[in-house]
Amino acid sequence: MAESRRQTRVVVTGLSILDPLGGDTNAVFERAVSGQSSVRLFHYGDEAIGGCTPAVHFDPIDFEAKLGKATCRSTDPFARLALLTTDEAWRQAQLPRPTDTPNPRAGVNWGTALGGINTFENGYRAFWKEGRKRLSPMSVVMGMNNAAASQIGIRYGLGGLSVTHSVACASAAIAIGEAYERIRNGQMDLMVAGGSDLPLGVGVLRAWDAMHMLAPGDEDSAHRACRPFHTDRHGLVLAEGAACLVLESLEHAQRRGAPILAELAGYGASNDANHVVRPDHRGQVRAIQAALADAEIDPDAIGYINAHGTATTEGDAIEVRAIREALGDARAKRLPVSATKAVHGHAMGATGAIEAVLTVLALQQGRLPPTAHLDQLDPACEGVDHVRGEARAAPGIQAALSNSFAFGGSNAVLAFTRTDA
Amino acid sequence: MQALELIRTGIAENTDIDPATVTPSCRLDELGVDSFTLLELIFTLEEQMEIEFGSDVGTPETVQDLIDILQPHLPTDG
Repeated sequence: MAESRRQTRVVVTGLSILDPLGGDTNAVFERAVSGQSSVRLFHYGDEAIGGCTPAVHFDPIDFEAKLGKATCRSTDPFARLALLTTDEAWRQAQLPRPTDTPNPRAGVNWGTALGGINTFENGYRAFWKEGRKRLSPMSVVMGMNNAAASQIGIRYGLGGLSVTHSVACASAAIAIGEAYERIRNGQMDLMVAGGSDLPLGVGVLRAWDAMHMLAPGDEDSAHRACRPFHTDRHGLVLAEGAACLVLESLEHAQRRGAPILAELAGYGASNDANHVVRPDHRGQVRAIQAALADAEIDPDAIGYINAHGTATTEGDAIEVRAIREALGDARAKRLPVSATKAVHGHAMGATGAIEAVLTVLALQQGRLPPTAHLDQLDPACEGVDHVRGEARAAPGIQAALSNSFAFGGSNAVLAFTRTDA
Repeated sequence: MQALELIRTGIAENTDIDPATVTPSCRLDELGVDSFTLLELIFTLEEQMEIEFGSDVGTPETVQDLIDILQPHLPTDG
């Protein structure tokens, strides 16, 4: 039975991250490797309701120049970022321009936690603050949470399926994992998978602030506000972002001579079924072990874990405990782990895709990005080989994991293996 | 013609169509204004003119049809 499931191997042929500091995905990876933070102080709202917080935010993007006015008039920014990141991944995968006939063997799985919330927030503001009586007839199609997947499907003729996964911080990882399943079970040849989110509306920021989960900082300290595994860590930094992977069956990729960047060899999902906010290491262990079993690789083959690592007091320590239990203390102690949210922040429903892309590039290039700002390791987070300070050279690396653990208790772990070694 | 200018402005705001190519005889679908874009175009015009056409709009097919919808709402001395 396991034999037949392994017959369809799934490979990554295109990838992309959009980051406010600009450049292509390799530039984003280089910044992660050098520990350069995209976090800046973000001023939001107005005099009545406003403030500032460390965040990762885009300066205004000329979407109209990139996507055209008609598309911009009917899309929320979360869908526009989705289109731009898919454009880059599609190009990198050297896929042809789509024809007028949708491809029934290709689809899209997209992750977003907040979807079109900015459209709705603008609408509420127009009604209750500005006293307007009417909303644009585009509001529904802009605000609906499957808008990004829909737009990607239209643009690239993905006629197989279009599904949106909204699983808080694990949205994109689950979108990628479920896309992988579609290819592996033979239903699809090609899937676009990723996520996009812009969680910096006033209402969203204030909601997170009310939970006391946002890392504080000022102009000078904002860039190092998010400090996973650090003794002195104070929570997460919200980020705008988007990332995309093109997944294909190995046969499909080989037939068209596509660049093969890595294999997505395993996906493990689990549910804590315990508490809506406090993570449970037992649920995380189940997800890690499920990914390893699915990929048919043993713990010794794993050369890197990109941790969920949001820099909350409880969450980071629980994740390290989960890694130790899932892989065994002896293996965990020698296992390089880093949390790249220190530099790219927490892009909610997109973050799993951002980290998956960084994991693929780390694997492919044999260079492991560090956990930036980690000059003082919390003893509660000891037990793994923290990559800190400089990036780590790992020329012989064979496999890597990307962890995503969501509010609500949903866990997803992606296992990538190297294909060129 | 004031109505045509309003339509050209609305089209320029909502699409990448060159407003100079918009003439009364143009068919909206041939210009690239589909029914979906038309909804937003009409909304834009209503906002600019501070009126609501309501169900009087029907299904305009040409730029002239749109002019006919706008005309009664424009000041006659303009």
